[in-house]
Amino acid sequence: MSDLPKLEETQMDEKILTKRSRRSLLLAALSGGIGIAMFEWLNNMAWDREIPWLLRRSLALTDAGFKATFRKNALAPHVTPPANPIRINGDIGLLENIDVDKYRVEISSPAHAQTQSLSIEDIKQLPAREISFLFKCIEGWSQNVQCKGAHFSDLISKTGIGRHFQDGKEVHYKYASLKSLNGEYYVSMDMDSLLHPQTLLVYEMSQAPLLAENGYPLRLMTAVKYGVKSIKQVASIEFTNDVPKDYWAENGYSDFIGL
Amino acid sequence: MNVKVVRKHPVSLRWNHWINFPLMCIMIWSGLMISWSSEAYFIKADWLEKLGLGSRLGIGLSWHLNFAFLFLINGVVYTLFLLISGHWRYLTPGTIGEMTQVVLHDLKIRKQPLPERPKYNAAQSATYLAVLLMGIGIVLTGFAIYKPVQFNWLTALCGGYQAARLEHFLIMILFVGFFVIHILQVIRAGWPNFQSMISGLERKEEIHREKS
Repeated sequence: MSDLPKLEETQMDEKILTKRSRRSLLLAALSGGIGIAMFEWLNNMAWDREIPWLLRRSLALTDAGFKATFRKNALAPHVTPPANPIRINGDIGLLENIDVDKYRVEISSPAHAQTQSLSIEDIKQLPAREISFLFKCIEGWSQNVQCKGAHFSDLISKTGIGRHFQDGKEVHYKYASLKSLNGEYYVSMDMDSLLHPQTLLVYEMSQAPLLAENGYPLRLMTAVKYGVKSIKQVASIEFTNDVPKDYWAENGYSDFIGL
Repeated sequence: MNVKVVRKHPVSLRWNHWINFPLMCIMIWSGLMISWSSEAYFIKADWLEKLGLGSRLGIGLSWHLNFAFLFLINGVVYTLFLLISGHWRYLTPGTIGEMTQVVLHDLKIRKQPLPERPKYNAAQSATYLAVLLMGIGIVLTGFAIYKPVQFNWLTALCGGYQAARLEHFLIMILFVGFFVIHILQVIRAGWPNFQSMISGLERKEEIHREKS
């Protein structure tokens, strides 16, 4: 290609060239040393919940950015048909032999002195919504799911719990803390994700009541977070303005993990 | 004694190049830690456990999702430099015939000297252009995996979530392949060529054939 511009050529004293080369090599060695030192420092610094604290802080920054720019109407594509059977990947905090008639979901918030207990029948009284999407595990696998349940906006309207007054205006709490029946598994959900159209309190998957291993009788299903947030056998929903504790955030993942 | 010197690699390009090297290593290292958490593509991961490259999802994600942004910034600076300085012209690939000549020449099958090009030979230009496109590809597929709902249009463009994961992995393999050949060619091309990536200057006393 003769039309390419020629590189600039100069004459230089050999001694000066050697000197400049040596200086560059020294700078390169120094930069390399600094790079290795920085890696070692990062890899060996104090850890915060299973990862180096600086990496966790920095993850929180990008998470804050994605939270602030969250598009509430961005949807995971509708899928069909759902996978059958549903892959079972976690059983932390999952109990067997549930008596569904005695099962209650406790709804609470700091603004409401009175906790409300809802039965599964109460949840089923709420408008039933159906969603289907590609469920994504943080490990990398994914599968189509179809589920039916209640939307959080309906739950909040029915119970009146989930909002509070701030500067004379009624606003939603920033987070919800969801816990399993025995309290061993717990997740935090930010409010935008909780109110996303593809986040439901689910009692049916693949057009059948939840199986025990899928979190019978009630679980969360959300398309906007990795599967670890879709807590099974949810029995407590507490609205709050503080970041709630989260099982997997304590074990090395970031708290947000929004998709 | 005066010698002939070519100003080969501008300073910003050299910094981009050398900063990219550890970033790339960290991205592949942390990416593998993530990848083995689920069934991996093509490769059985058992022996990688021993190299410290086994599945460690939380740590892998924390490095990968942080350094991805540094990799992106470095790549954007490099691309802007190419565009603004006009250096992108050196990435204009040669014809298939010219590239074949280079490959045959480097394999010592073809003996005739290669046609003169100002900076990179025909195959180099095409390869470095491909590397730039691979960089863009790995960032786009990366975001398609990272935010498949918020950037659902991007994930759809990649052909879906699992397709994006596979593409991301395949581009990584291409990068590793490039890296191996790049190192071999740098060794072959010799010291003046290597040192030009450090000081920017290449001594032109005799005819060197740069092939890094």
